[in-house]
Amino acid sequence: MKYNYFPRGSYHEHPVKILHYSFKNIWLLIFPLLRSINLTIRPFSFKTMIDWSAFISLDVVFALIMIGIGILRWYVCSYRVDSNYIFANSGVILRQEVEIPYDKITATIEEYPIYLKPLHAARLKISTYSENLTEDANLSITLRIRDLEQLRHHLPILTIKQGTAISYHTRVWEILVFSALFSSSFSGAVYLATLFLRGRSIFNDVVEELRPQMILEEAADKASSIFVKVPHTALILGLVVLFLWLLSFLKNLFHYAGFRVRFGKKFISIHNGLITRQRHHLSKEDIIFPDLQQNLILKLFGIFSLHIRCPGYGNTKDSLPVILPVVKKRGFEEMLKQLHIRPKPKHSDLIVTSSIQYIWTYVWPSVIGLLALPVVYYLGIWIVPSFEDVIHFLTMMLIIPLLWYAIVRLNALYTEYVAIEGEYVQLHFLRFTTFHTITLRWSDIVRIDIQQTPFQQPYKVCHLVFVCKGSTSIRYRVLAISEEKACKIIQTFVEKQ
Amino acid sequence: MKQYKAEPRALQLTQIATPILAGIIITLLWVFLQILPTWLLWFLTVILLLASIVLALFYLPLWFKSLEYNLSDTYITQKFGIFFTQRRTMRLTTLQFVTIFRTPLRGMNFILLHTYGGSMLILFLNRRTAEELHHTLQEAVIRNRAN
Repeated sequence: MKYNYFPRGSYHEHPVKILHYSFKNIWLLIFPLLRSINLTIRPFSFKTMIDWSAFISLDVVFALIMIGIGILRWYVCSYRVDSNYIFANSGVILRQEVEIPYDKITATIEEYPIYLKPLHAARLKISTYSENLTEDANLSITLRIRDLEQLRHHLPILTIKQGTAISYHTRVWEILVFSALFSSSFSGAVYLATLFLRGRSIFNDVVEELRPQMILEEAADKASSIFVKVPHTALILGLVVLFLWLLSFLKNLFHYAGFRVRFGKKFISIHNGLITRQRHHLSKEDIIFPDLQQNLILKLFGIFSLHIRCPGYGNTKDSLPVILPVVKKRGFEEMLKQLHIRPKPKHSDLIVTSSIQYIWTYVWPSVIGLLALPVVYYLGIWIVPSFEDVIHFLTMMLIIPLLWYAIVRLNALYTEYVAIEGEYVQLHFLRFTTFHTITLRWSDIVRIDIQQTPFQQPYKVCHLVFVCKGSTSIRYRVLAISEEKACKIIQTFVEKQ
Repeated sequence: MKQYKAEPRALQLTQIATPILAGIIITLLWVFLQILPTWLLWFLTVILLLASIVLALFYLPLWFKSLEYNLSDTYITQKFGIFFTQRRTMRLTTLQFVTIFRTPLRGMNFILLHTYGGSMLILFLNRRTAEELHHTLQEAVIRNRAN
């Protein structure tokens, strides 16, 4: 069968992609590497050097094969557009053609990494409703910026008429607050682990060069002069946690710097990023639902962060589906109306809330945690008595987050609700330590679960779990509500078509 | 509304499989975890044996009894659990596609319902029931596509 490797009207990707394809065959360098290792472990002599240099041409052949495969793969990969579709071809022996209709595109990302700027190259990622199990987009191409500008004339989602748009620019303090709120030591650790896995050798060199253990020891020594009574091990642990949080904070800061959003008639355009500038284009009608998020402190100040659930936006591990990072309701009514965000319904068909008598459902994690602390303390010093001061410090330090979590959960007891108003369902609930307010259409709900523990069964109380449309499965849980009312909600759910 | 229950033969199979699995885990413990003190290995062995007996004789029969599916024209409900009960309701209009898993063992047939954003696994059906349910659900998928 004869393939047409370069269909009429097709474009090649940017030549920089050759490097990407070549690096995929980097394993070929194992042979020259093995020969070099063999040379270093043998005693030095001119004969071995001559033997080694005789095979240099072979090494060059391996390097050429690597680059040759890269060039071949780049040559056979192409893309083209017509009035309704974008096509992408790839593969030398096994040819693959992806066709994406424009009306099925839910989101696109234009990425301008700093290292591609001198080469006038950019990356374009296109997502649809279909799930991407291996990659973060259905189609990802690296192309010349001038070709991308040409594509704008064909792909409706890539163009926004500037005159009719409502735009919103974030201020520096808003990005700082947002980055601080959505950073955690855990995500910092995940980011560090990803860096380690992606560039193990570079990472090893950096670790060798910087000697973080020594830096950490020195920092702990300096900190011990301020925190006199804190044990040295606890200080090191605290510094590690702080460093991981800082890493996550900086990552968020660089990712969301220069955040601005523009609402068009059909599409939303979001620009963000300092090192890698990103332009997201989202189809408004493919936004499944808006999600107002706030923690307890933001709640006290009436501030929230507006996120959305949309296929292709914020679904990767290192990004959040944020539309407005930090926002107050006043002054943003027009923008919120664009996303069909409704205030808490006052005259709903049905409002279901929890009750004070189910307080245990909310506070048990903190109460059990606090009761377990003395047990953990005595067990710890029984097993490792030499660490008594560290264990004492850590158990004391754990009291603060446990008490804070109890306060957050108590607030949830009074504020969580499910409200039904015609075609819409509004949920306000706590997930970990973040409060969410989501407004759904009945058709956005895929499944509703009723969960009951043995303690809830006699009191006819249950948890209600909502599973909604989206490329990832997320469960939204409202705690401790009346079983009778939960059944009413399910009845409405099954009746709505 | 049509009701489906778990196949009783599947219960017998899982009851037989439970002590066999416990036996395999105990053997692996004694082979690979010899660094642990002997008293701890005996303790783990007794715990595993007791757990498998409780699971096979008491928990599994009750759990199978609680497992129930109700299929209407518009939705499917799954109920299960002894202490922690769950009732899941999924609308058939959200179905994207259906996968059936057939095995030669009686009662060991499963159906996985895929929706955009969620899924539901229908467990332990006999072959005829599984085929029938699969057919009905496939019709719902075709209806959804037509709409």
